[in-house]
Amino acid sequence: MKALHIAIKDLLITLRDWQGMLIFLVMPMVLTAILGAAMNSNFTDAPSLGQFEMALIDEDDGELAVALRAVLDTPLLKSLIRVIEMTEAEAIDRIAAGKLQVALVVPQGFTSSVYAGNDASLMVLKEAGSSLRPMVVQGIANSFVEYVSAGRIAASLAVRQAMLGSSNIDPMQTAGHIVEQLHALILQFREEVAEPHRSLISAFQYYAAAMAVMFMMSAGGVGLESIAVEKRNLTWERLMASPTSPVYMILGKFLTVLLVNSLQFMVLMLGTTLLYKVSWGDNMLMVVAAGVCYAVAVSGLSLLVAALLPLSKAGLGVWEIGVQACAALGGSMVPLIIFPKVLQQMARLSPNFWGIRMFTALMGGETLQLTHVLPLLAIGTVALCIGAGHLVFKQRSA
Amino acid sequence: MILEVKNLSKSFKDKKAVDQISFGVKEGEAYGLLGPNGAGKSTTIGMIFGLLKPTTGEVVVNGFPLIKQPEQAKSCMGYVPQEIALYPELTATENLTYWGRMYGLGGAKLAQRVAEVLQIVGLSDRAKSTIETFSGGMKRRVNIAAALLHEPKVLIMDEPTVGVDPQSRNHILETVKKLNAAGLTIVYTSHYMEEVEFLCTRIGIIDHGKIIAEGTVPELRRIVGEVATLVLQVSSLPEGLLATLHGLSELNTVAATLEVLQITAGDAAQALAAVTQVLADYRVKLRSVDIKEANLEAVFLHLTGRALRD
Ligand SMILES: Nc1ncnc2c1ncn2[C@@H]1O[C@H](COP(=O)(O)OP(=O)(O)OP(=O)(O)O)[C@@H](O)[C@H]1O
Ligand SMILES: [Mg+2]
Repeated sequence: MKALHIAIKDLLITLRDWQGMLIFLVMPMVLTAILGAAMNSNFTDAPSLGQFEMALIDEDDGELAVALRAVLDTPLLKSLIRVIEMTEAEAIDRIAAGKLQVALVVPQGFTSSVYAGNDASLMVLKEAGSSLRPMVVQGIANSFVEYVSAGRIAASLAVRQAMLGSSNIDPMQTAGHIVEQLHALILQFREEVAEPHRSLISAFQYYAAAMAVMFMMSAGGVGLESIAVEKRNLTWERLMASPTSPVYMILGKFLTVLLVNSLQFMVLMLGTTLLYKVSWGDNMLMVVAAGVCYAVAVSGLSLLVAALLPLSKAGLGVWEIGVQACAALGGSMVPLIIFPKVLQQMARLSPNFWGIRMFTALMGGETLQLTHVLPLLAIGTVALCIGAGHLVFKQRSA
Repeated sequence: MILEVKNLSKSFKDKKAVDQISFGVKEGEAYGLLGPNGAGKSTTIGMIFGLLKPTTGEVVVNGFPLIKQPEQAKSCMGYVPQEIALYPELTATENLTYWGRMYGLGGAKLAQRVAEVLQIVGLSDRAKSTIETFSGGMKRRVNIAAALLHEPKVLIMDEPTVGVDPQSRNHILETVKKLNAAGLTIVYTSHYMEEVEFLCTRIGIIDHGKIIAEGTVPELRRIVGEVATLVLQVSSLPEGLLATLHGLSELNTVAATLEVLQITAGDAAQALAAVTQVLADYRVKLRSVDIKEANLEAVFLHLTGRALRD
């Protein structure tokens, strides 16, 4: 209860100084508009449906090429990619003419190469300058090759069995077999790279989420600042002289950031919905719950930094630098897909990554999953525990 | 004993801020800690409230050892910090309500106590104004009010009148005096000896982290010995007058230069009565009298060779 009273008092002070909070509301709205408009073409021409054309050049004419066609024919990928078959020369012409952005080549001998246990790969041709779509195709190609290579023994066994059992090889059966397992892989791939559904959402949606997570973290500095002010004003001392355990003080500050962040999120969500017609998802309650989960991560981190850093202007400066770094690393500035693989992996260190992943999933029509919220809740709780432990220890040994 | 401080020491790095301080405060008493800047008053109070961890020693409040039962011990004390510890953006009522909650108050009782303490410090009419609009003296008064909400057994004040205009200062002193008269135990630190003399029944003089003398005001004065100096301007010095004055048992020493008598005595009032009687007998007119009582300033000077305030 005391923790809640501490937070309510902080919230009251924060709201009295509402001009100070304005920047955390206006800036993300403005940046969402600018970045959303600027990056829209990078996402998809039709914001609501991110389908694009891809040429398929089959020089192999083997079983695996058939299997690949079957993969591309799954509803999941069909909604994203419209496949047109043509020759390599045709594709190169079209790309040169600017009529096509990307082509996927199944080279001659691909199937036999894989069955023989040799290295084999699919080739992606792309228009110079476009990066996002070729990357999607490259991702699909890589997953496919990875799968069939890893499963090449099983595949060749299946083929041999088919050859022994009947004189006719049924490529469709083999494809069906692979697709079945590839489906799971693609789902996972879609999860990890988050590309297909990112393409299904508009740039405005993406940046509404990206800016919200960035500026919510920025507003987390309120927690640091209010601790610094309490120490300076000696209200912290007065509280420590009262029969209030330092644990309440820390929980109170955690709640302060949580409340400020949650309010901020709701304003941003309503603002982007009304002004930019951004759809955050079908279930408002779920979206708000997601916002609160992200706020938990920010609140925990704010306390952790407050505990570890000297509480001064410099401390706040370090927080702001951290906010920028997390934003860049986690995909708040530019979508992760244009980063190299290593950076895409490192993005997981940034709460922004998990926040954007969660919000874009909701925007793409998914429901809120444990895998969305757990990383954020874990960041928040671990940071809170370390931060609180450290602060209490510092207080006890003053 | 409401408050027992036993062998408290605090060192910052190699500097001893407080050095083996011990004192006890009885219920209803007003105990003063008098000492110059940097003597260790705030450090001592910080340790009493558990804000600083003592290097050695312990604090017991109303029978509760601070280390073992901090919440019970802290509940018995009201803390008036040396600086204003309030939220400037919040009103007096909002501040006091918040602090009341931190001491476990709530509901109608809390609202009633907030109104009462505002009454005590004379700020009922400013209840709804934010603290940032208050004068320095008014802030100090709210600073005190916040320590009274939970009806503590002992009110511990760290230089509550620093930087305050004389009017507010008098108001604060009168308020504290009244609270003490109503039975509240007070611990009051200051480097103003007038304040401590006015308020306190017992005083500890603190310097360089040590209590160098302790007692009631008369007890402390006795340390200096001769208590008061009387300077009298008289119309004449007839023969025999000095000899008669020397014979008075109420006086310690008598010196005369031209028409000025310089007398030291243990009790200024008794000495003056005796001297005026003698002067009347000799038909000498008294033109002016100046009594300089030995004060705590003199005691401090006597003990340390330094003035209380530089
Ligand atoms: N955190 C600290 N670190 C180092 N030295 C300190 C610290 N706090 C106090 N001191 C030193 O301890 C000594 C006692 O300080 P303290 O604040 O207790 O004095 P005080 O009697 O309250 O003085 P004042 O009348 O100026 O308030 C001083 O010499 C001071 O410089
Ligand atoms: Mg002090």
